[in-house]
Amino acid sequence: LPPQINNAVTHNAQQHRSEEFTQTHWTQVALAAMEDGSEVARQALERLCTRYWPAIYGYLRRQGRLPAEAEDLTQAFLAELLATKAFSRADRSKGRFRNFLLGSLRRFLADEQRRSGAEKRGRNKVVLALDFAEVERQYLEEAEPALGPDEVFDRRWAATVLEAAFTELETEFARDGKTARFAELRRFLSEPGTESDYAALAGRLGISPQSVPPVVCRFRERYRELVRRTVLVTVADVEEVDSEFQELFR
Amino acid sequence: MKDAPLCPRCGARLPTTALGGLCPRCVGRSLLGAEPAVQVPARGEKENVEVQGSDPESLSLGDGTKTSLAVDLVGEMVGQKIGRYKILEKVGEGGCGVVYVAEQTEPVRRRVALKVIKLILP
Repeated sequence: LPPQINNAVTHNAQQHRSEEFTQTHWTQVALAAMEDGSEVARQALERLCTRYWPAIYGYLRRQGRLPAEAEDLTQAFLAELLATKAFSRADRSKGRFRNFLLGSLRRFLADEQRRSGAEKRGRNKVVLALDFAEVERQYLEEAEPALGPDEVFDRRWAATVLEAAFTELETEFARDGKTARFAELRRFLSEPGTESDYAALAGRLGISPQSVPPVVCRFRERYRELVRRTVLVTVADVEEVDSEFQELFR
Repeated sequence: MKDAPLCPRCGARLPTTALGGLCPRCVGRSLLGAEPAVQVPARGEKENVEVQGSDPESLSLGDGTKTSLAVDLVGEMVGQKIGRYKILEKVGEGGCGVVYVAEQTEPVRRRVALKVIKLILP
């Protein structure tokens, strides 16, 4: 195949896979992982945990645990979770992955307190390669002192959703050779522009001032769509996306 | 703990690298403020026409191509004529614009979906 066609095929295949994954709610993934022991489903769960674990770490740190203990507990919790033991206890037919994860973490910590020293010694398992140094840095940077563990958990979760969609949008622009345009447009994700912003932007992008608002608007809409898709995976059905949106970003 | 720069609007701490240094709270709130996108299913003879530019003469309906023209979005749009389109009813509103069912009068008479792009962000 000529390179451009080959690229197009790869691109479509990736897009297809990504859509396939995002259209699958986590509850279905959990069921598949439990009931047929499906490796694909297990990997999907692992991807979810790999994405959202910084919220778990932040919760543990805000409980007053030192970095080393928070790391250890994060890994132990994820090891238990990915062994799918926790899924058998949870009501998987409904609910959000965020609530499920926090609920499971609380139960895990309560069990952990009752465990004897001998049992605890066996817990130094590493199931996922996680960048604790970076997440500790991020925790110190963003976790405001007034926030409790639950709030730290939720804030980090919301930021993770926003970052995942942001990176995806950035990748889309880069794929189309529009990295510079992305850098110009990204600031409009946090604030609507003024007329003078638009006039300046038109000059930098080399387009007419009149075509700036639709460009900015589509950019924001695309981002919104990517955020929705990111959230969609973590709820039990599509009707829950809006309420999860409200809770995360209010 | 080192002092992170603060968001000038909401006072939250700004990330150094993540999210391009944007304030996560403001980005999140901005998402809530935007209205949900509307999707108009393509069916029958409807075609999507975007209306946004300045020259009514440039409005040519090819094979479902998007064209543009400027309109003043003042007051009720239903009943108004834009170029060769008469606006019949509003079917939805998204973050970027409003979608109407319209009747095209020439060269053929048919119903189209007309998307009017907002020129100013909410």
